[in-house]
Amino acid sequence: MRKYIARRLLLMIPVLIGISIVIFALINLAPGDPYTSMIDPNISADDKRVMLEAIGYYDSLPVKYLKWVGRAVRGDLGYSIRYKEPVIHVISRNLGNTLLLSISALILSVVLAVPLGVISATRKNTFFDNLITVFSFIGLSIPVFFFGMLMIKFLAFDLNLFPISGMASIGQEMTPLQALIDLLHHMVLPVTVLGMVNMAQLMRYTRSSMLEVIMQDYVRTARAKGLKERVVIYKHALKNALIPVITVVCISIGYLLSGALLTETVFSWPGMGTLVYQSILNRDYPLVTASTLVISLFILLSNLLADIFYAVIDPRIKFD
Amino acid sequence: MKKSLRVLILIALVAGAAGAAFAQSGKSILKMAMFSSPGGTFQPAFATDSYDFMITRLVFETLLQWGEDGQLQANLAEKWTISKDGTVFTFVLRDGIKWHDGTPLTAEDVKYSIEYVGHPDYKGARGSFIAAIKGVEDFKSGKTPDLTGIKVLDKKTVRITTAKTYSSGLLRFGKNFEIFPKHIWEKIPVGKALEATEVLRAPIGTGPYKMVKFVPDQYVEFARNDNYWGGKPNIEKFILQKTNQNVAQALLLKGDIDQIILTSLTKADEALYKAKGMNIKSLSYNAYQYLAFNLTKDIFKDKRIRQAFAYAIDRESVVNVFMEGKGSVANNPYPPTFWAHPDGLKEYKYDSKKAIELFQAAGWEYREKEKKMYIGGKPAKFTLKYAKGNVVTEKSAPLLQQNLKDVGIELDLMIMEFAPMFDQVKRGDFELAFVGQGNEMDGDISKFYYSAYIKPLGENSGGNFIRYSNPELDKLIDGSLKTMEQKERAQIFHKIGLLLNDELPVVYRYHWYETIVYNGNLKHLFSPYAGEYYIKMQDWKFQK
Repeated sequence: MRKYIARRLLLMIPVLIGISIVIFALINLAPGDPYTSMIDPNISADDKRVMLEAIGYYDSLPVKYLKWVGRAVRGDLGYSIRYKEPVIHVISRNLGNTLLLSISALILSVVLAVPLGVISATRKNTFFDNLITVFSFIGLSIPVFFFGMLMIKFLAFDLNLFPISGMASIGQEMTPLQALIDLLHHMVLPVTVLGMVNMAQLMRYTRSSMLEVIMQDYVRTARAKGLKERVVIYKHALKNALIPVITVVCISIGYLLSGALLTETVFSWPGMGTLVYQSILNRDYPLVTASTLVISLFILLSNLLADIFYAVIDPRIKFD
Repeated sequence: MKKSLRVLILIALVAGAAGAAFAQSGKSILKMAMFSSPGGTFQPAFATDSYDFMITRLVFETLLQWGEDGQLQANLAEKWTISKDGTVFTFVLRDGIKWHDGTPLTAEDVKYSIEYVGHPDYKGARGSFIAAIKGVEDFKSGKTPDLTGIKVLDKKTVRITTAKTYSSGLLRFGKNFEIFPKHIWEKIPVGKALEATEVLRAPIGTGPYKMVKFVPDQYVEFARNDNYWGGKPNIEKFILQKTNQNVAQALLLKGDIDQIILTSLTKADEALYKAKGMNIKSLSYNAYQYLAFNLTKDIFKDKRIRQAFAYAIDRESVVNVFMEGKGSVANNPYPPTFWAHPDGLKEYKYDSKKAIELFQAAGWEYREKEKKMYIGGKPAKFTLKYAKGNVVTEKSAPLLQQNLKDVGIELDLMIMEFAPMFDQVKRGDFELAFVGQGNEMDGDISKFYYSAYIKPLGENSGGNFIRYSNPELDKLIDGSLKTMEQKERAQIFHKIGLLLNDELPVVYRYHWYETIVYNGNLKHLFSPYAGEYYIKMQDWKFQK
C-alpha cells in the first residue's frame, strides 16, 4: 500500500514537468505581449522595448523555460507584471477564496446528492424518482452562467434576500462575528449555483451505482435473511455503492477548482478562476503560467486522492 | 444525512436574515462600479492600466484642470505665464496645499514628478512625455544629475523651458503630469520603484480623497481628505467596487452602487434608469472610429474613390440602430462638442447611386446588368480586417459588406484578435480596416496624419499607418505647432478638419459617447469631457 502511494507520487513528477512544458509553450507561442494591448498612444517603440527587455521577453523560448523552472523549484514563481507582487502572494490570496467556495459547494452537493440518489434508486420509476431525474437533467444542462444570473435576478434582486455579488459588504465597520455572518451571507448564492450543477451529476452517479448494487445477490440474501429494508439499504448496499461515488467526488474537486471560473465571474468572487482569466487578458505571463500550474497540480492531487481512497476502501483491490 | 441538511438550511436562513440587517444607507458612502480590478500600480509615472488610472487620477492631482467652460483652469497651480515665443512656462502653486500625510506641497515636488520619467533608470512608459523640455538628452544619458530645463525658482514657483516653441505646453505640463511626493519617492531608487509594492499600493497625494484600503480583485476604499485645499468634501467615503458588467445594472437599480460609467446604453435600459429616477449624462469622447484605406495601394489614391466609399456606407444606421443614438456620425476627426470642430463639413449622406457615379468618374467600371464593379477589367474585391471585442464594430462589418455589395463591390470579412490585427495594420498589411483612435485635447492630430512619421511597408508605422502624405496638411500642422495663440490654433484646426473632410484619407464613421448613470440623489456631479470623472468631487453631495 505504502509502496503504491509512493510510486504514484513519484509518477506525478514527470507528469507535472510535461504539463509545465505544454503550458509554457502554449502561452508563450500565443501572439501578443503584455504591452501591445495597452493602447497608450504615448508609449514609443523604444520605451516598449525597454519594458519588454526588463521582463525577459526577448530571451529564446527554451531559455525562458529553464530560467522559470530554475526559479520555480526554489519557490520563486515569478513576479506578476500587473500586480507588481510576487506571484505566490497573488495566488495564495485568491486560492483561499476559491477553496472556500469549492469546498462548500462540494459539501453541499454531496449532502444533497447522495440521499437523493439513494431514494431515487430505491424508489425507481416512481413519481419521486422521475421528478428528481428531471431536475437533475435541468441541473446538468443549464449553463452555470445563466443559472447564476437567474438566481441573482430572483433571489438577490427581486426578493432582496441575498447580496448580488462580491465577497463582503464594503465600507462598514464590522465585528469579526458580523464579518463572518456577512461572508456566509455572500456565499449562499455562489455556493448554491456551483453546488447545484455538481449535485446533479453526483446524484445521477449515486443513483446508477446504487441500482447496480441493489441488483446484487448478497442484497437479495440480506433481505431473505429478514433484515429490515433500512438496514439492507443503508448498512450494506450503500457502503458498496459509495465506492465509485467517492472516486467521482475526489475528481470533482479538481473540476470545481477550475470550473468555478464562471461562477466567480458572475458573482465577482475573487478566486483562481477570475485570476486566470484576467491574467490571460492582460498577458501577465508569470501569473498565467503559475496559476495554470497550480490548478493542474490540484487536479493531479485530487486524482491521486481518488485512487488512494478507492484502494483503501475497497478490500478487493490488490496491488502488484 | 438529513439532519446535516437541515442544519445547513438553517445557517443559510440565519445568514440571510442577518445580512439583510446590514442594508446600506449610502448617504455618506459613494460607490462606483469598475468592471475590472486595478493591478495596484498607483503611481502616476508607472500606471498604464486604465483601472489604475481610476485611482491615480483621484488621489493625485495635476497643475491645471478642466473647468465648466471646457478650458483649463487653476488647480494645484494658481497662476501661470507663458513666454511670447512659447518656450518658457512658469507655474505658481497655491498656498497651503498639503499631502495626505500632512507635509506641505512645494515646487520641488512638481520638478521631481515631471523629470522622474526622464531618469536614466526609469522603466515606465512615459519617457516621451518630456521630450520637448530642454536638457532631456543629457538627463536621460546621466550627464546631468537632474533635468536642467525645469527650474525651481522658489517654494511655490517652477519654470519649465522647452527646446522649441511648444504650443501644447500648457496642456502637457498642466494636465499630463499628476504630481507625486518627492519626500516619499526619492527614498526609493528609480530602477527599483516597481518592486516597492507596499508604497505603490498606499499612494499619498493631494486629492480630495485619500486611499484607505486596496483589496485586490475586490475593491478600493477611500476616505475624504479633511484638509483638502478645495474644501472639505461632503461625502465621507468613496469606494470603487469591482463588479461584473452584466450584473452592474442590477446593483445600480438596487442601490448597492451609486454610479456606473458605460460606453453603450440601449434605449430600453435608459428608459428603465430614468423611470427609477437615475441621472444620465452622455459625453462625447474626443475620438472617432473610421474605415482605414491602405493608401500605398494605387486604387485608393484618387480621393474620389474614397469619397465614393463614404457615400456607399450607411453610417447613420450604425449610430441610430447599433448604438441606439449614443453617438454621432463623424465627418472629420473632431467631435461636434470639441472646440476644434469646424463648421461647413461635407456630410456624405448615404447614397449608393452617388457612390457608383463617383466610382465611375474615377475610372472604375460598373456593369449594370451584373450589378458588379470592375477595376481595370477585374471584379472589385477587398478584404476588411477588424478586431473582436467591440460589439458595434462587429455589427458594422456585415453591414459594410452589404453596403458594398449594393454598389457591386465584394467584401471579405476577416475578424481577428485586436493585438495581431493592429500589428498587421501598422505594418501596412491590409486593404481596408476598422480602427478607432482618440484626439489630443489640444487638437493635435499630427501623430496620425503627418507625413514625416511614415515608415516603409513592413515596418511598424505607428500612428500614420495609413501612410497618408499631403504637403498642404503638413504645412498646416507645422503652423499649428508654432503658434501659442488659442484663437489662431482654433482657426488652423478648423482648416485641418475641413481639409480632411474633403480629402477623406479615411472614411470617418462615428464619434461615441460615454454615459454616466448615477444615483438620482447625487448632486453637483459634473464632467466636461469623457474620461474625466472626479472634477470638483469635493462638491458632490447626496441630497435627502
